[in-house]
Amino acid sequence: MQRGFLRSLIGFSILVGFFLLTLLNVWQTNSAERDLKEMLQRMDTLEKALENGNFASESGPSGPSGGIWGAAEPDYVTTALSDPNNQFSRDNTNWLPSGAKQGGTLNLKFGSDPKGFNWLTENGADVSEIQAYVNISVGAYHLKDVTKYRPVLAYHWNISDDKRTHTIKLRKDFYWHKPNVNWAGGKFDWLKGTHQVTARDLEFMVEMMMNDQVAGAAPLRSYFDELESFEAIDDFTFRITFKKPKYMQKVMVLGLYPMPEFLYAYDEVGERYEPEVIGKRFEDHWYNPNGIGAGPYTFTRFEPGVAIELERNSKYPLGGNAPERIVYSILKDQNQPPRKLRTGELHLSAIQPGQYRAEVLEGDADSPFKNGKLNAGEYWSYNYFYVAWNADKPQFSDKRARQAMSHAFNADLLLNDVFLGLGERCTGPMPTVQPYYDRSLDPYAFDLEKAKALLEEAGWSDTDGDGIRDKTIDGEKVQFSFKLVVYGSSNEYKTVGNIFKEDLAKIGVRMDVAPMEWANLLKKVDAREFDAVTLAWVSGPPVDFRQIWHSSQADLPKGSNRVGFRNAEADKIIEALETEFDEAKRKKLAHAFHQLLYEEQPYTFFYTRKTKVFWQQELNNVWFQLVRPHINPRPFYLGG
Amino acid sequence: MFTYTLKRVLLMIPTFAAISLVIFVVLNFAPGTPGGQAQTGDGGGAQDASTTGEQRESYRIFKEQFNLDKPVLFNTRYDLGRAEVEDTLRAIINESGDVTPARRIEAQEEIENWGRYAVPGLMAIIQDDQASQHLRSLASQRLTFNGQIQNKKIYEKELSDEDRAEVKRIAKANNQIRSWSFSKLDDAEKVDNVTAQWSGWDTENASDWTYGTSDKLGIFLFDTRFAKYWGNLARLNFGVSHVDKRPVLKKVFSKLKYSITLSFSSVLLIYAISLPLGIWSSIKQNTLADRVVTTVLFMLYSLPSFFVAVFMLNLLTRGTPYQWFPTSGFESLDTRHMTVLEYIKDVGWHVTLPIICGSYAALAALSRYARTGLLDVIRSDYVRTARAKGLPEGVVILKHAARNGMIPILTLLASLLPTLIGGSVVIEVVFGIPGMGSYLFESINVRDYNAVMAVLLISSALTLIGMLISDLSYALVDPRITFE
Repeated sequence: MQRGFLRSLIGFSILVGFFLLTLLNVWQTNSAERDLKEMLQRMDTLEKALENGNFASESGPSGPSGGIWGAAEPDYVTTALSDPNNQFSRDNTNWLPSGAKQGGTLNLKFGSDPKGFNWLTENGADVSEIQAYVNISVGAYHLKDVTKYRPVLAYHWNISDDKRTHTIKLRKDFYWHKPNVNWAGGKFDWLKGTHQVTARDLEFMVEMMMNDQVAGAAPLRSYFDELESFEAIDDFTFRITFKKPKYMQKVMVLGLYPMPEFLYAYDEVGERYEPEVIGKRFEDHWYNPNGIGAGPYTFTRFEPGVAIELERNSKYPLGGNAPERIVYSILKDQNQPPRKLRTGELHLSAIQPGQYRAEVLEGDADSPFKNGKLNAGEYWSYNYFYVAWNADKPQFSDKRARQAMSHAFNADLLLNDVFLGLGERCTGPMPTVQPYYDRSLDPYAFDLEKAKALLEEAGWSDTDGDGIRDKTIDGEKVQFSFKLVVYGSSNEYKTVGNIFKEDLAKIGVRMDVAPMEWANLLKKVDAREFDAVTLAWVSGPPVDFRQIWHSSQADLPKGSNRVGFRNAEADKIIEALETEFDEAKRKKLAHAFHQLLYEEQPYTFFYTRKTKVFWQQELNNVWFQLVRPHINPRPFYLGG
Repeated sequence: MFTYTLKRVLLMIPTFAAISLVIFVVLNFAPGTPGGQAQTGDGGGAQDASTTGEQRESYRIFKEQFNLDKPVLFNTRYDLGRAEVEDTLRAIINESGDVTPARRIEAQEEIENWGRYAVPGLMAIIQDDQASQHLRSLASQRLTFNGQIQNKKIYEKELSDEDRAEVKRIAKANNQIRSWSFSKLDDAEKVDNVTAQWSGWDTENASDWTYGTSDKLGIFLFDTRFAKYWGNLARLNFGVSHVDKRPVLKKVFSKLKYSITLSFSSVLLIYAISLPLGIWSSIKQNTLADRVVTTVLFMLYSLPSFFVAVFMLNLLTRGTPYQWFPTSGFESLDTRHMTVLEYIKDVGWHVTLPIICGSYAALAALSRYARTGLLDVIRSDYVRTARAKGLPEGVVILKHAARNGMIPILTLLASLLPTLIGGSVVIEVVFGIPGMGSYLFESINVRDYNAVMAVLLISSALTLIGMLISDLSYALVDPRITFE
């Protein structure tokens, strides 16, 4: 069938015409949408300005003015801080220097998806970090001194003479953020209005913490097993009493934080939960995908796998919050942060040791990590790595044998070559950054001769000439050979094992390296089915040795005293430390404990790790907190 | 055709049940427990000293909520007698001191998991004056937990008034017995009093632990993890995540947008390239060009995608040497102020590299299929006829030969359905795209059984359906095949 030329032409022209019209249409719709979006954005800004009651010009900082953008300090706070009975003292370090600039978006990263933002039930390090910016606690450590406390929500903290009762007075100028719900449609109208932070919110937090149904609060709850009573005496006074005084209670009270009862005690339509189920409802609360607090930043968005967004709370009375927004990209692949530092998508990020090797130690000369395009720094966290010796095994029951192991462990070489020098040798059961760490002790030197001598002294010698030392125990010949369990996903630890193995062979000890996946490793360690294992402990500034070192924990299934350390003198020191409130005496006790463990060597203490951090030039006043979260953006400001 | 389809669909049910059984068993017997310590992932195996303390009561509640206290497949706990219970209690007490820590951990789990099934055994011990007080005191302490009724209604979202009353009743009954325990040092009077309390309570509730044959059969088959899971599954309830206690199905759906975009574009790209390529190489069969193309495709085929992904990321995103594509993600961080066109452009820019990585390997396979498919028909009579009647070569190949030759290729499409939804674990993890693949990966890491089950079951259901569609489509496309 033949078509006429004209008909084809007409058909073709019509098609082309339609195509052009569609293009035009798409273009028009798109620009209309852009206008609409811009308008909505402006309305948002306007609404926020209205809410804050602030129409300040672009140059001036918004919000109340006091210190570095905090409100002027109320008189009652000033008076209280001069009271010698107040546990709080004035911290003269500010978050921000006086010339800091406000505004901008700070881009940081997060390594995982937080499970939710209920501060009480989620205790992952990631959630605690967000909590540090969104919510507030009763008080905190001084910024540059972890032996002193600065006030936050509370301004006065009194501990009774018998050390059992803590009375806390709260400031009257803290308000809960507006909940992050969809206000359209009126469903959440019952949440409207301003809500002051009161002692009742603290009481509610403790109530929920002590509720058995709130499984997520269990780790915290175990610190409050001596709790006798707690109550909000009035709107701004809270009292908590313990049956027996313990030092750790002080730290726990300092870390208490309010939870907004007006939100968490109610279901989605504003009906209060029944007392029988409130614990379970609180644990699985409908608001958990969002966070709320009264802190320097407001929680505004969380998209799993994508980002978390915080916005500056201009009404925060203590200031110290320069960037207008903080956006945390969620980067689960650890290889992403260095790439994003290169492209400028991240303002600041810590990097892994392997990346430090690739980018800095072995990097090209024009790598931004080396050529000064990125600034570099580091922080120390409260951790220490160790090799634990199971004292219930005949090989390690004698301290001389354990000392011999420490002398055969080439820690300096391993730290410098395998762990790239990112740390400091540690000699006892505390991170080296611990204020009570005893610096007078020298690490065990790498000395194979001395190790040999110690083994001989302990009765281990090669009687049958097979190259491996042995000893007759209860009529049975035992060979000095053992398995070292290491974390299998870590190449570094396999290397540690292999180097150690070679050195041990030189002193007549046979060791095999057994790499294990994390779940299996924990199972073996919990069941005490190991000879030796490499692990690490992470802690905070206060010392509390009971869980890991007290003999009562040695026979507890799944207990943390997994090496079976039983020492009467150590028990005495641990118990004394628990009830000693005087800091000078605590320091002495901690030093005595450190020296005792240095002698006993239940672990071969290895090192405390530091972390390398890189950041862009436009980021100012970068320093790291002494306590977690170490990377705390509150001192940072952009530009200038 | 209808009977065939019906038969296949009916067969799918036992197949699906068998698949779910296998996944369930493997998952439940794999080392590691949900709610236990998650992977630290920081290379050294660091543990937080402040959170490793005993948290038994909370863990017990957690196990209860997710039926982790039940046996996996069969339940014989109705038969628990004094001997077994006593054996377990003795392991916990460890009087002789020679019980291994592993056995003690196990014993603690055991007695906890037995729940109310252990009550008769515990009662027999507590009522036995001859037994040591240490043993009896432990029995009394265990009873205060094991005697409790599981208040399962509190895990449900909506409660009716009746449910509320029941929750209250159970809470009251549980509270009552919570304090009925004594220690090994208490005097005889206290011991007698508490024992009397328990005896009274035992007679009152005796019907709760007297089982008839039908009860036993019911318990044997249905009071198990697997039966409970299937009971929920039959109502299309995939359960809630262990991690954040949110419905798993809802989370899976929220991941679909990412995975479908990726896989759909990948499939489109694969077909768009491999069909013409296959046809071209079948025409040029055995020429040098054909051989070169084949070699190159097989080289691509054997390149692992994680390697190519990282290579491309380092080459094309870091700015040294090039910064043509974004470093990760499915879209920019803030898309709220984008218009639809801008958004499409943004997503397109982000997914280019993942799509390339997810496609190149399949090119080899599919274009070889296309090549063989066409070679099979190109020598048939009707193609020769078409040539004989003087049609141009292009028309012969494209209109006559390709139509028939591509039938096997089109049916392959149906078998791609599961990957379309399942996503690619490697690609999604490396490119930081929060789709189904990365969800599966993370869920496995934290032993989130319900999430892993949901993702795997949905993929296997899709595989089954895909295979059925693929078989049926043969008949649809090719009239010579029938299933009558």
